[in-house]
Amino acid sequence: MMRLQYMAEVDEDLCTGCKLCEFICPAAAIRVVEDTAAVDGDRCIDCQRCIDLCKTEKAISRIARPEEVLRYVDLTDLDQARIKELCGKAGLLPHMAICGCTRTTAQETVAAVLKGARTPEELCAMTGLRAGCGLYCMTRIFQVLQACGVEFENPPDRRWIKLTLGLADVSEEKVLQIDQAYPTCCVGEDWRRLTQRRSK
Amino acid sequence: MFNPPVQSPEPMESFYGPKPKERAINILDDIVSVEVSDLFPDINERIYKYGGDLSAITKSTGEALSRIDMSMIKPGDTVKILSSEHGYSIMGGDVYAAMLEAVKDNVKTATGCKDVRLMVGAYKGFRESDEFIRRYELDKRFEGKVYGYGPYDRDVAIDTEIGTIYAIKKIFDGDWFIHCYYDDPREIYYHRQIQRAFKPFGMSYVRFETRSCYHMNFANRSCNYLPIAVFYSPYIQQRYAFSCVLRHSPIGILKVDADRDLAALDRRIAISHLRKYGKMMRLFHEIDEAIAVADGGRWGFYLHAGGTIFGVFMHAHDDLFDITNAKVLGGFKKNAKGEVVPMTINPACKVIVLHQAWPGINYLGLEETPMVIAGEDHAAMWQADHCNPYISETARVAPDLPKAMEIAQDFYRTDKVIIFDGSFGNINCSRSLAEFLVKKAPEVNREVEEKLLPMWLKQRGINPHELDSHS
Repeated sequence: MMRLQYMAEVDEDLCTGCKLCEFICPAAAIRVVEDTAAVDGDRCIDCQRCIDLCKTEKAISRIARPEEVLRYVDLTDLDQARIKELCGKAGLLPHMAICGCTRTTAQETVAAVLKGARTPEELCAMTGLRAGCGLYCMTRIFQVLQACGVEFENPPDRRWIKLTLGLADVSEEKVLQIDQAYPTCCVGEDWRRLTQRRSK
Repeated sequence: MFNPPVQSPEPMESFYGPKPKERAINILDDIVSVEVSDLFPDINERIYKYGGDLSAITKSTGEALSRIDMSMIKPGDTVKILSSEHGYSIMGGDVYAAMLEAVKDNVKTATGCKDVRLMVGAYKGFRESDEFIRRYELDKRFEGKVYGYGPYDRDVAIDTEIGTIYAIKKIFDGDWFIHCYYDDPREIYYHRQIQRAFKPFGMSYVRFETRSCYHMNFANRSCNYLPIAVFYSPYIQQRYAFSCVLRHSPIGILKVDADRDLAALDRRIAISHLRKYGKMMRLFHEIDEAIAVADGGRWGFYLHAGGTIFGVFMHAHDDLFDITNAKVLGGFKKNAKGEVVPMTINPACKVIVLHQAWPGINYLGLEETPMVIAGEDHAAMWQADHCNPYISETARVAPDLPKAMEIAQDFYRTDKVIIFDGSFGNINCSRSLAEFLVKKAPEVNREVEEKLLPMWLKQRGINPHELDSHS
């Protein structure tokens, strides 16, 4: 659950319409129309990445929202067994935080997909994922979308690239080779633990 | 008996952190300094410590590179020197900048190559690289051939033995690159001193999606294979010239080391670190209770005391070098409510006082550790930071450091205080903690030399006789 007291705001007089903010926004909350950026407060998750990237001093700033909003997907009205099954398919435990920053759980992320999220941006806007560091939860966002059967392609501007490479995807034959060459990495032991968990 | 506290490097003013303040050692009473070499007399070699003569770094770089075959580099080639963010925060960063400049000068002289470019890496902020370039006058020192890079930059797909990953295109699109690293072990709880010298190939040099896979889709020991797979990919090997590493010990810089064989270099690092940092880690493990004060210009858990980061103290309740232990931080645990939460930090760390430290990076496992933030402006930065919503919701705020220490004492009464302020060679701490460390060091030394070091070496296939030749 994310509590948001702030959001981004664009100064239309200063904005040059360069679209850097549109590119970097993890929630697709910014759209540049007629050379000026506009922020959708219903999607903004206050990650402040647009403010950091903007090359024009004070063209984007952080303003207080009229009232605090929560970004949280209620999963109580959903089929819990289905959520658990989809988490398992994604290789995740339902209660596991898929983001170290926001602590958004795998089950909430799955619930967001079941309630309509079809892109990483929609998932972020609904749950607040990527409001923190924005880096390390990315692969898990892809994993959840894939497990839920959502088809999505890499955007042409490469703002993100679908990548879910994990140890459990490595073949047993390759794992044995790695284990022999680099025993200190304990790849075999970790691989067996991960694949056993997945098969359950 | 003890020395007065030692002044550590001044924090760099940054968009990402609070305005630099008076240092904790100048504010708190009864802070002393204990020398690492007094605790562990065998940790006594260095060529540089903060405030020393940087020409020693230039000289050591020249000596190391004199043994490197650079014949692959032709005068008309483009060479990229890859630097990573953390190097610029070690002892104020000037030492890393000095090594980078010396690498450039030596390559130009040895090869006749004119187009030698410095690539300045960032953790995630879009202004980090520019701040480093300004602070160290890198534009001037590299004749304008300086470029920042970060995890959102344009990608290049790299096929590895275990699948395709995405790296940063602009750092690898020259004819050659030089891996210019530092071996400050930093997060032992993540890398476990397993193939540490390869890490940037799974982190700093790659896109954020690859970083995500490295941290989230591999376990805490096996993740160290990902950078190896990237490094030995044909794409990287076709462009790789050699590696040059700023070698550390808890008391400063040991030397500059270079090799084309990164595995050999990594082995030399491991041999040196297991003994030296093993002792620091186990010394931190012995601390039974302390209030930790973060006082520096970077993310809090990367701040050093005795050349060892706060993060190591946060996780010193476990033997981080024992690679048979699979569960050092790498996982989560269930709390009393049945929720899966990150493992908690060292219970001896009773309270954390943030005097000055950057937000912007997640501090895992703090749920049961009280935290106090000194300064309203400083606290506002933490409250604006969604990397740590738990901290912003629960940390107490004090107007200044003395008041923050009073609040900390209300949480847990102890006279043991340790300050993480970027110090190498010494630990600034309260007198009682200094006395405790002096008392404990001999038994730590004995435990490491007689029991733990042989085990750590054996686990890594290192013959103890190699210690003498490489430490």
